[in-house]
Amino acid sequence: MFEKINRTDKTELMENEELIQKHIQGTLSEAEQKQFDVLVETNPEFAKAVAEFKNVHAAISSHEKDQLKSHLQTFEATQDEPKTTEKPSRSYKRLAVAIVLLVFFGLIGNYFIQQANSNETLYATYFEPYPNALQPVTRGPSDGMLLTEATRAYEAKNYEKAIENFDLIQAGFDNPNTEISFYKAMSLLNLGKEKEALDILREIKGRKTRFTSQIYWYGALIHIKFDENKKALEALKYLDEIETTYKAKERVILKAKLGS
Amino acid sequence: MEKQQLDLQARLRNDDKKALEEVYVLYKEAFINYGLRFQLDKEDLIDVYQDSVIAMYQNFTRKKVHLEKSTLKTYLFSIGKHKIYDRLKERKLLVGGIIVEDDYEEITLEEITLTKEEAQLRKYFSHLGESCQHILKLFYYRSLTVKEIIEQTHYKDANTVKSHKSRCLKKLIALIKPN
Repeated sequence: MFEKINRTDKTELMENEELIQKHIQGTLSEAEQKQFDVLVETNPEFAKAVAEFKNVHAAISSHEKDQLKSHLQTFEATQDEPKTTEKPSRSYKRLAVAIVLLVFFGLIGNYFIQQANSNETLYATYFEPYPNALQPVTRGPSDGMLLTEATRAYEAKNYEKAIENFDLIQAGFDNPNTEISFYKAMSLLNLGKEKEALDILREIKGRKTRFTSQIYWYGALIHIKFDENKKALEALKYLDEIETTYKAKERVILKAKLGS
Repeated sequence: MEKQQLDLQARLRNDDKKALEEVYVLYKEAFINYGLRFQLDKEDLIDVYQDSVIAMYQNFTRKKVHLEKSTLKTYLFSIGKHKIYDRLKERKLLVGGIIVEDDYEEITLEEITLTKEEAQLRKYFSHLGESCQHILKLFYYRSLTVKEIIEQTHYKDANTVKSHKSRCLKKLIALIKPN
C-alpha cells in the first residue's frame, strides 16, 4: 500500500518537474499553465522546487554564457582574414592554420623565454653588491653612532637592519642625505626589492654626489631586469656622456648586448 | 523555409557547437558592416556580435526556439541591434538617440543578473565533476526530460538518470551550504 502511494508521488513529482521545465522554456499550454499556477499557489513543496529549478537554471546559464564567450573568442582568433579567390579544401585550410599558429606561438614563446632568460642572466652576471664607502668599519665595540651601526649591518649583509638605521639617520635631517639614500637603495637591491630601489635612485640621480656613476649603473641594471632595454641603454649612454671610467668595460659589453 | 536553415536550427537546439561556429562565420561580415553605422569600431562590434550569437544560441538551447516566419539572420540581427544600443548607452554615445531605419525590430532580452544564491551556485557548479555538470546541464539548463536524456546519453534507464541527477544536485547544494 505504502509503496504504491510512494510510486504515485514520484510519478507526480516527475510530471511536476516537466511542468517546471516547460515553464522555464515558455512552452506551457493554457491548461498546463493553469495547473502550474494552482500548484504554485497551493503546494509549497512545488513552489520551492520551482525556485530551486530557477536558481540552478540561472547559475548554469551564466556559466555556459562565459564558456561560450571564451569558445567564440578562441574561434575568432583562429579565423582567417578575408578569403582569397582560391578555396583550399577545409582540412588543408585547418592544417595550414594550425601550422601557422604553432610556428607563430612557438617563435613568440621562444623569443620571450630567450628574452627573459637573457635579461635575467645579464642582471645576475653584472650585479654585485656595492661596497661600503660611507665610513670604514672598525673592529671592537660599537661607538653607538647610528652610522656605525648601519655600515656594520651593511657589511655584514644584514640589509634589513642597515635600512632601519639608514631610516633613523635620515629622520635627523631636514633634507634626506643623498649618500644615505644611495646606500638604502643598495640595501633594497640586495634584498631583491628592485622597484623600491629604482624609486630612490630616480629621486637622487639629479643631485650632486660622488655616486652619480653608480646611481646610473645600478639604474641601468634594474631596467635590464625589468626588460626595459631602451631605458637601460639611455642610462648607460649617460655614463658615456659624463666620461666616467666606472664599469667602462662592462658598459661596452652590455650596450652591445642590448643594442643587438 | 529552406531545409538547410531548418537543419541548422535543429542543430542549435541540440547544443551543437559546430552549428554555433557556422552561424558565427555566416553572418559576421554582414553584422560588422551593419554595425558600423552606429559609430562603434570594429573591435567593439566583434565583441557585440559574439554576445549576440551567444544570446541567440542560448535561446535555442534553453527555450527550444523554432523560427517559422523570420530567418536566423533577422533573428540574430534583431538581438544584435538591442545589444548595440546597450553598448552605445554604456559608452554614453547614445546622445539624442540614433535612429536607424532597417528591417530589424529590436529584441529585448532578459539580462541575467544573478542573485547571491545563484552566484554561489554558479561558482560551485564549476567545482563539480564533469559527469555531474553534464547531467545538471541537460536537466536544468536545457530542460531535457528524463526520457530525452536517456535517448541522448549512455544512461541505461530513468532511475539511473534520476538518482544521478539528485546526487549531483545535492552535491552542489552541499558545496554552497558551508558558506
